[in-house]
Amino acid sequence: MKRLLLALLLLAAPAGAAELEPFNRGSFAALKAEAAGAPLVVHFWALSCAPCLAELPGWARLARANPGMRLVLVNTDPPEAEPQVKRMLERMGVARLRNLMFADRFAARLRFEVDPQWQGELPRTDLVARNGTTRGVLGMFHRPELEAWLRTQPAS
Amino acid sequence: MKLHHLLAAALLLAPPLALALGGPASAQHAGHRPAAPECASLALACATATTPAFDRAGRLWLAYSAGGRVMLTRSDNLGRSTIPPVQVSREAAAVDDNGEARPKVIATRAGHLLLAWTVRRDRAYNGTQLLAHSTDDGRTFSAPQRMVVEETPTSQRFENFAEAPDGRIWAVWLDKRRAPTERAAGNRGYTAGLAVAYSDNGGLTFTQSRLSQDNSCECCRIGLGFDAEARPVLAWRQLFGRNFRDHAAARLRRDGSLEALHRIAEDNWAIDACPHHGPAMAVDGAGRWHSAWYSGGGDRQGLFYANSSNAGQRFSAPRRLGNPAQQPGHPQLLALGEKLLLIWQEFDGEKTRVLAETSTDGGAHWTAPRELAATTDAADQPQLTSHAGAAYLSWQTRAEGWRFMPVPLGSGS
Repeated sequence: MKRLLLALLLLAAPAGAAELEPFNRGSFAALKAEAAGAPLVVHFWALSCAPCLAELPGWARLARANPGMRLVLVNTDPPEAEPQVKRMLERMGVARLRNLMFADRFAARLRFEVDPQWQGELPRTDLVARNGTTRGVLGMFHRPELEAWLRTQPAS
Repeated sequence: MKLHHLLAAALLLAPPLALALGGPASAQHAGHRPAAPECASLALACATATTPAFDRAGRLWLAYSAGGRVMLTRSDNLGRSTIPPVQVSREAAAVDDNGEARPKVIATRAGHLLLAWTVRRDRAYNGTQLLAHSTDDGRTFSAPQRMVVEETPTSQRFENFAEAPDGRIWAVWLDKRRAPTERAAGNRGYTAGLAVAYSDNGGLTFTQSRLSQDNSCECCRIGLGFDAEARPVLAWRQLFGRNFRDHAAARLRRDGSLEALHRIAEDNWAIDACPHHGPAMAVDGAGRWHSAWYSGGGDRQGLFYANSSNAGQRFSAPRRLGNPAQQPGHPQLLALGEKLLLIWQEFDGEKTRVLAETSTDGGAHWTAPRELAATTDAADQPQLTSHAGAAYLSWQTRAEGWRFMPVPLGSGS
């Protein structure tokens, strides 16, 4: 029975289909709380941001190479862009990562909860250390830089 | 037949795309038409981005995006009410309306209406700029046509266009036509260029476009003003050195090429990102160039203003605007003779406010900032327009709908 359910689930969700969780007020704090002391990387991107699209495929490789890292991708486009966002995640090979999407048109308020200084520059990556301290990095993120940061995070 | 059935039938039968959605717009001082929580109609109240333009008779035209369409409406009484809107674009599309990008309208001196907007058309989310015009006072529009016809379509976005005092219509935008070549040559960091085209027949046709400057930033709006000789003066975010995304200003020659490129300030903001935050530019009656811009880091972080009395060769020291703790940004500048109006928006986590400073001496002295309007939900970038020597703020907000209000520029000459 369990197997049958699993097979049905697999049929319902074709390989690579993206699942999008809503990113609302409180979501950033919830993600941090959920990580419960594990290093967390939250990456924000949008369809209209060319550098974001250029580096999107790299996040799948990074996740594979660093299984101890919690990685979350958050799309900041308006809600009606959801079909395009899903297609892009699939095309870029990152649909299997954990994906969220801004679920509130009042995007400025969602950004404010991440960082009161964030005016919408993209891409943006927030590095949440084991002790909860958060560092926001604007611009394309380079793998050696991220892996160097991961090495500064003591093993649990 | 019940009344709402009749209304629905009337809507379905309405001749070409005119919608029975007019009625009073928000009054000047109170928004009395709050948008529904999830606004789904094509009415002005549901607009995402709204751009105003007066015609010579003082009628106010509004181009806006709603529900994936580009719409046009008009107010004949300075915003107290608007006529039923007309749909200008055809099928629903991904209209570029994030505030930096927005549908725009020009009421030309020939009495025609010209609309421009961008749709993102394909899997790669490339931009295609479209134009439509009306020769019957906005009742009907030509089928939208590409602003740029190229052999190998790439991407064009963030168009700005305006009619110069001599009647020529100038269009400027960020253009990726060189991206395939650069990519093939292994330049992964290539961004875009600044392209220019113009029309001497009121916007019916445009010249072939010219890539006037390469290596511009690719996701910020372009500021556009005109000097006394009707020549366009631009401000935009440009890559300097290796990767400093600072601001450039330049005047265009008659053929659309840049006369000279001037760096407004050395902010030295090095970032591989889309700031989505472009500058403002206005030229005053004495020929001074005025610009306001946002820098996210480097040697200067925040919102700044500077001017130049010698056509961009030297800009004044950048002056900080607004409260740095409240995300000051998205500035607009308007010049009426020696009088200037400078606005921007601030956000404190709950409330977005539009603030204004004015100058009556060409930017030498400015008033203290004062609040023009505020909202506690999503907001479009505030816009300025003018007619008969008076300045107005146009602001689309989700909770209040569209607002329009005069902004006194103060006494003095």
